[in-house]
Amino acid sequence: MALQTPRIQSWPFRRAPRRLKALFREGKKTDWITSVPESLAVFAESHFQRLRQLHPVASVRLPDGSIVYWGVPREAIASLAGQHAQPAVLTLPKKERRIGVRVPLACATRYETGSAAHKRTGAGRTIDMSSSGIFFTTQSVLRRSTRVALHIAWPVRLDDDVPVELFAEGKVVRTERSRAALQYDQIAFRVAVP
Amino acid sequence: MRIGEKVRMTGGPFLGMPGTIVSLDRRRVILAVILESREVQIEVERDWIGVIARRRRSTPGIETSTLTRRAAG
Repeated sequence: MALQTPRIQSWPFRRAPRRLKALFREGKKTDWITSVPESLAVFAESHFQRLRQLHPVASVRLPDGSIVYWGVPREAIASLAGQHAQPAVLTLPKKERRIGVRVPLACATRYETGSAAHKRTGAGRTIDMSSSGIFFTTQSVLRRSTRVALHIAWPVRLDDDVPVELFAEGKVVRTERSRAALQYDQIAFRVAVP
Repeated sequence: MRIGEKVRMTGGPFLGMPGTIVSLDRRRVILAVILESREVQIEVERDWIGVIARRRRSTPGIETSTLTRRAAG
């Protein structure tokens, strides 16, 4: 029987083998898991070090010498807040229902609503973001509960070179004339396509 | 998308990295990529891959690459 070439394997968290998911109890469907065999570990580690510029990455070494990495893109906003935001003590209004640290951040966005056949698009910019939602400007009124796909031009480039975007998908939970708050259920980094 | 085709990872932990398709099925793709000056194989979701399409501009001898991303899965 031919020997299989050792290779790195990567999955969205929900599709990873159960034994690997069990290593990271706090994993969610928007995360990813990567398994690196021992023979390739030295080549992969520097890559994951660079990836930590974008979002948190944790790892576990298994008894066979392989390393399992767990990436958490949904924590990128909190991570960015830790790097750039000025610490401030906030007194929340009594009716404040939003959770998580909100980071004031103006990034160019484009958004899509509707089905593939009736897609509507618009452009705007983010106003603030948290680990659960994004407040952004819109070109038209987005109705509450509308599903929205939001592409955010991320201020950090991968290796200071590759432009990336944060893709978030969810529903509008609050709307104003030209502003909307999105509560997302999917979030991932992607290479930005011009 | 076919074996031997040059692609770029558009999502997942290796986003931005170019590679060549070694093997693929309906859901997964194995790519040969260069990691720290060494060729290694990486198996990822097909949804995380974009084909590097080549197009020729009107200026002779100048070829540019663009990235065509698959629909998000």
